[in-house]
Amino acid sequence: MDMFPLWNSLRISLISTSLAFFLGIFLAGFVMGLPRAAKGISDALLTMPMALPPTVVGYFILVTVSPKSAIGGYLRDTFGMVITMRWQASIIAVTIVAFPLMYRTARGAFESLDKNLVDAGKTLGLSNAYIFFRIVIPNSRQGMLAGAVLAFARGLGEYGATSMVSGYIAGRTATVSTSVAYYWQINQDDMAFRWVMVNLALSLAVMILMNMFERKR
Amino acid sequence: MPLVCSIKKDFGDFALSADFSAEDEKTALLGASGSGKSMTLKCIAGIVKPDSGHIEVNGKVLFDSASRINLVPQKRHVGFLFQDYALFPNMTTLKNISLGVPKAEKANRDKIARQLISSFQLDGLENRFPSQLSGGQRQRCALARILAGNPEILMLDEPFSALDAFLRWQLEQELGVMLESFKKPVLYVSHNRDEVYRLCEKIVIMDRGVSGKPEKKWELFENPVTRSAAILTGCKNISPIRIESGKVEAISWGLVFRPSSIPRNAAFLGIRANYILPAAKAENPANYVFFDYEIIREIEDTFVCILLIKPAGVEAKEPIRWEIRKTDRPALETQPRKCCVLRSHMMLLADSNEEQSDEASEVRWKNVF
Repeated sequence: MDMFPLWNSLRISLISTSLAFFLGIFLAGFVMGLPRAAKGISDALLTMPMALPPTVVGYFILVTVSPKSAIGGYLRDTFGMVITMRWQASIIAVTIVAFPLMYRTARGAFESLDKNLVDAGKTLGLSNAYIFFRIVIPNSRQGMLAGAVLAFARGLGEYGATSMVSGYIAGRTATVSTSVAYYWQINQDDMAFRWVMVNLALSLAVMILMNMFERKR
Repeated sequence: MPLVCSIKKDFGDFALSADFSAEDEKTALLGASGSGKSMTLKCIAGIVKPDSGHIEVNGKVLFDSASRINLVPQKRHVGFLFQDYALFPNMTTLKNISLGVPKAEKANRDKIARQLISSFQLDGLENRFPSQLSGGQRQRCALARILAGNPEILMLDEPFSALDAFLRWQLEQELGVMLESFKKPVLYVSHNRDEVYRLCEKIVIMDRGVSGKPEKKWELFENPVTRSAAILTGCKNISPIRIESGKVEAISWGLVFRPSSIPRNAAFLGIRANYILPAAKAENPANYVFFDYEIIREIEDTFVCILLIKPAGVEAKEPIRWEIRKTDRPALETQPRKCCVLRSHMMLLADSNEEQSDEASEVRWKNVF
């Protein structure tokens, strides 16, 4: 059995999770400081990919970066880069789909942090940057790690947006979830079943990891 | 004046109006929960921005809505001791304290922190994290961290509210000793009258967002002027009054008295539970008011008997609470059921701090009965 889809899924998910991790923390910190109305709107926009069907996310990505679009066309003409139908396109898709999970968990972690710590830091004369990086982030570490695991799990299972932007090309863009669909469609039920088992094992492992973090808290 | 605070802030369902000043002494903000005490401290610290007003500490303007001054908390140099001390959990004692040392002293940061550690008896705990410290050590660590910055004012927000009674007493004593050496204004927020009385010199009553005037503590306890001040200083019996042709009727108890004069804003009558005496104990009857009573219920407390009484032959809406020493209790059975209150112990009270600031109430409402 060619294990490329597993390796591909892991690398896509890892890279996307790292991106979503920093983006999520940064934007959660940023949105928390906004005035109330702006906060509500930004929050809705940033969490939207969670409610949208992944195919809609995929559609928007294609519209933005396919060689027929302005940006995609520019990238192709200037750098000779074509993003769609390659595994790199899945990184964009998975980052967008997993981002809300990271963002929400980070925000939850920040909000459940004792606000007095921030205020104490301010009255002690510490800069806002110091307070954010040295007090807020370290003291909500557990919550953010949990968010990262959630985002990673979501990334591994991503199908809709991934299959739209990267399709299924064996040995190039195949992932654990697109493999299941592919083998089922071409009537190789035993292969589909094997990838189903891989998916089950992966999900189980991630959830065990997740529970370990929760217990540590 | 070392501290001038005159601010207003509207929260929609709650309006804060704090207007007081303080010398280089310990001033308590005493009030029920939700009366705006902590919010006032937060405004002074710059954590919350008032709608309007003026805040000044040692001549430095921290906030002034008219000239659009609103310093960030970092530039205010106020020491704020939070309820839970707000030590940074991810940092050691030494790190927590050295963070309090101002940037200007960066070169000596470690030295200053270590000096504070030894003067606050935290030696040997430099590398412990807050979760590994006892309640007392945490409090000392938090105070050391605040004093490292040499603040212009010290504000303490209910520092003992989360502790059990025994630990509370110990920490209070420690804090009392440490505050002795701080010769700048101290604002102490609490809802505990005894704690406030022991630790502070002056008291500002906060009632539903409105501050009263700073008063010497014994004056306030001796002669509270508002209903909330009476409650906060431990008065158990308070009745609304009806005033008619020079007579005061305590509506809850169906009692009528005739004071020598009635302040214009008087709206309540207060009688402290331990100021009621058996009639036989009245030394000079002219100084007392008397009434016959019936006992409704009797509750035995730790050191006193609590008698719930009502005036004889009158429909009372609420009982009057009478606290009598257990040793004095048996004698009541041998005497006629008649009790008395010293005239100067009958307290006519205004409804709120707003009423108090009315010019007519400048006169002390004492000895009107």
